Amino acid sequence: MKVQIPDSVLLSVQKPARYIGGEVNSIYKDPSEYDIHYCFCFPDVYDVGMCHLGLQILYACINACKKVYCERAFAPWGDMEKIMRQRHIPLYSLETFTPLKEFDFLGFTLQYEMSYTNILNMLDLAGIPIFAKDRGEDDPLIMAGGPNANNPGPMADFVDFYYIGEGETEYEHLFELYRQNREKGGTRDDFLRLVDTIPCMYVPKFYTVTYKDQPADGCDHTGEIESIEPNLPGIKKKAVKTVMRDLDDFPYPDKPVIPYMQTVFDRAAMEIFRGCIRGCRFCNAGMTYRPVRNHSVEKIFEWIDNVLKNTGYEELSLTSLSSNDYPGLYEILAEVHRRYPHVNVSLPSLRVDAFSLKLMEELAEGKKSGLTFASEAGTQRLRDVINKNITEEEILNGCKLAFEGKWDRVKLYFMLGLPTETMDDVQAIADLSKKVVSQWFEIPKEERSRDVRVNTSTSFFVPKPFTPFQWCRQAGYEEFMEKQAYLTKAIRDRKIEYNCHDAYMSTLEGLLSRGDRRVGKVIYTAWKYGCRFDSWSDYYKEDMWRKAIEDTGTELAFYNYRERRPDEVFPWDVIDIGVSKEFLYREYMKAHEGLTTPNCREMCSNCGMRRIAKTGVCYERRRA
Amino acid sequence: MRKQLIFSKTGLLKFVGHLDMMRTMQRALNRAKIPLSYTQGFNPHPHMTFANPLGLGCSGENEIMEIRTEKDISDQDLFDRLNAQLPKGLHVKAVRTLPDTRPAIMSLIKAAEYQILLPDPAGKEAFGIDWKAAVDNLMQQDTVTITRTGKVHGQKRKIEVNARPLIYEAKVEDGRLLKVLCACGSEENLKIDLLVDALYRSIDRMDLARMETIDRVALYIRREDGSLQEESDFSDWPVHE
Repeated sequence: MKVQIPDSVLLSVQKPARYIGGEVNSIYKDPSEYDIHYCFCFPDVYDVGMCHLGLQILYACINACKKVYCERAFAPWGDMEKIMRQRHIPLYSLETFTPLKEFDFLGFTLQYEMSYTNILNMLDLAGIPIFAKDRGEDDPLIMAGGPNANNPGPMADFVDFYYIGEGETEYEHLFELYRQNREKGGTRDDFLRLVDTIPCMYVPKFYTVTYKDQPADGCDHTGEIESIEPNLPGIKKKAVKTVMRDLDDFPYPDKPVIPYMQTVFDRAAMEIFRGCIRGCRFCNAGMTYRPVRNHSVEKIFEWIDNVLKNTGYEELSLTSLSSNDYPGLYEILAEVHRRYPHVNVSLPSLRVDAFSLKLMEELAEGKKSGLTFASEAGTQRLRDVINKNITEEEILNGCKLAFEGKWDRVKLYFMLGLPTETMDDVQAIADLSKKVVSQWFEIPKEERSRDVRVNTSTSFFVPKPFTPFQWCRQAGYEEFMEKQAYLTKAIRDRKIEYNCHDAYMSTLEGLLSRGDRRVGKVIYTAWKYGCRFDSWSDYYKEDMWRKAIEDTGTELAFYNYRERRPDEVFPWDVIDIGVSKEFLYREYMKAHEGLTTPNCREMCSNCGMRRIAKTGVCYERRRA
Repeated sequence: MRKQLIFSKTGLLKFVGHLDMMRTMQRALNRAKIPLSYTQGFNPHPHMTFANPLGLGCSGENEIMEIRTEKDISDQDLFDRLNAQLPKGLHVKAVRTLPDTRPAIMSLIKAAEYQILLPDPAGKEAFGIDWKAAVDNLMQQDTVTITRTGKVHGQKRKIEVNARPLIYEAKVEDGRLLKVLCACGSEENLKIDLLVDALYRSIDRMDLARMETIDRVALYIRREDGSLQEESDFSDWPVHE
């Protein structure tokens, strides 16, 4: 059955191009070409979801599996949702307008905590039971993956199974098992038993979580997790993250779907490497995407050629964490510029030095967009605590060079509420911003940019699973806001603009990112109270979240405001992400002593990743 | 080299707005490796212009666009290569080469012809509304008031305008097919959905808004004697389908 959307509906919503599919490079298959129907679901609005490189990679990857058709679905914006509910239009896929309920699989990506309510809402709009336990044989299997799947706790009641790790490796295997089960006439549960045989898959219903009766320190009634154990014989103890051995083995999506409407990033993206050698202690991606693996230079150029040819894009982004860690990055950039002089090239995080400034100017064809320094903390002491490898001298020298090169905008990013932070560290954020302005004043008038604007932004630190700070106490709302208020006063310079935001969303992120299965009922209740699109200020309903937390008796004291015990069982302990709990704890202790850890290329710190991934930077030196 | 192209924008593509359609067209030209020439200056952009933007939700049978290329390319080559790269819903129907000296297409277009399929609220082509009478009645008025957003002293306001002088012809065929010839262009322009709204309002049926389908079928320029000439008529062009 196809869903029919009357023209009058599309004409009465904003940006109807969100709901029509048919974009260049979208994939169409005849029903005779596939026997498994998969829908990749992005729990945010189309314009955001279509910028996500992971979507393009998985769309290509799943469609390359034999006899499988992968389509796409997104969360409809509020105006469309209202009409869909009024007219009983079920949520549908963009390629064939098939109701999501008719698919074999729906795969949700968990990119950020504040998109969780959208998943519930999408299931509801699709007419699919929200709780996994209520789904029947005819309902699609609901799977979830992506960075936040690494803590499968909060969404466990809603998801049938989790895929942990990189999407390129296990889909063919999964579909093969699905076919086997179907041919045998197996049930949904029979299939989930088969799913469990894949090492990187985690099926929540096969595990029982027990909690201690005694409340944790400082809590009224919430006890720590006692254990997470398989509740059936033969179920594996832990799911192990799957890792691509060689990134070049997988055909990169060189025919990305090109949205009709303008999206946030309107450009081609080429991944140059995955993972990060730096080991910043607050960073989830830096820990969980280990080990660093590079795309080869030859493949990068082959794919850039193809992707530009297949899209007609005139802007290209070379994506990775910490761009400078690609060996020979500058040579690659120069070569890209030589081959494609009309193409604008952008990099997410380039270290600022004389050479990179010159290159950036060439690549952007003279357009001088702002420079960004993610200093994260104001003092060297605190930067050492978080293992952030950037010095004040580097920042100030970079700014000096930039101002001499007539750049006139600098952005500085910081976090408030980092572990061991004192008011001196907060004051240092204002001081560093001022020093940047002073750099500009020290340059003779005729040699510098005409004016200068320093944008100083702070966000609030949220401890993340699988980081050395996973044991940390998160600062409370008042504490966050006091520090912010202090900075607002301390930054009194017309050349500095201070950007900050309310801290309550960071509190929610803290709850959802380190929550356990008991937090599922907060998500459900908040959704019932009308929460969705929580990362959008026009939809975010703080009062309803507060009410949901209160009505479910959820204690922030337990999830956010306490230091966790060294050997406490975490909701994500059922996942082996590669990096070991011992390593993370060592790092946590070193943080308290202000000791830094060298990056992966300088020295191996035995994080545990080489146990599960026999590839990448872990083995670079041996080969040399 | 200056090229003029007639293309159609139909099906779901009518929900793609004008700016998004321009980007789509530019990328298709890039993929087709058509060597567009670029404007000079600090922020160069390709020479690609459209006769008149089509409203969101309207399809266009014979839309006009012009491009300038850096190198010579034959009309046939352009026709074939661009069509091979266009998504379903966009299609080039004809190509010709124009002298560089001709004024910009946007300034030449003076009128447009629309075919509007009005709603059939009673169902099964029973209409339930005498559309012919409604349109005739509207056309007998001296004043047809439409409300459009415009700027008054630099501020966005709803302003009421008499659209009657902008409507050159309007008649109903086959019960509910409304054909309209009206002003279109950079000087005088009638937003067609506002006219349809005025029609609904005249019979007190605003509930029907957006139930119609609107199709722009032709664009006109003015001859020196003042009469209209269809610019989008490509029947004698060197390359057409």
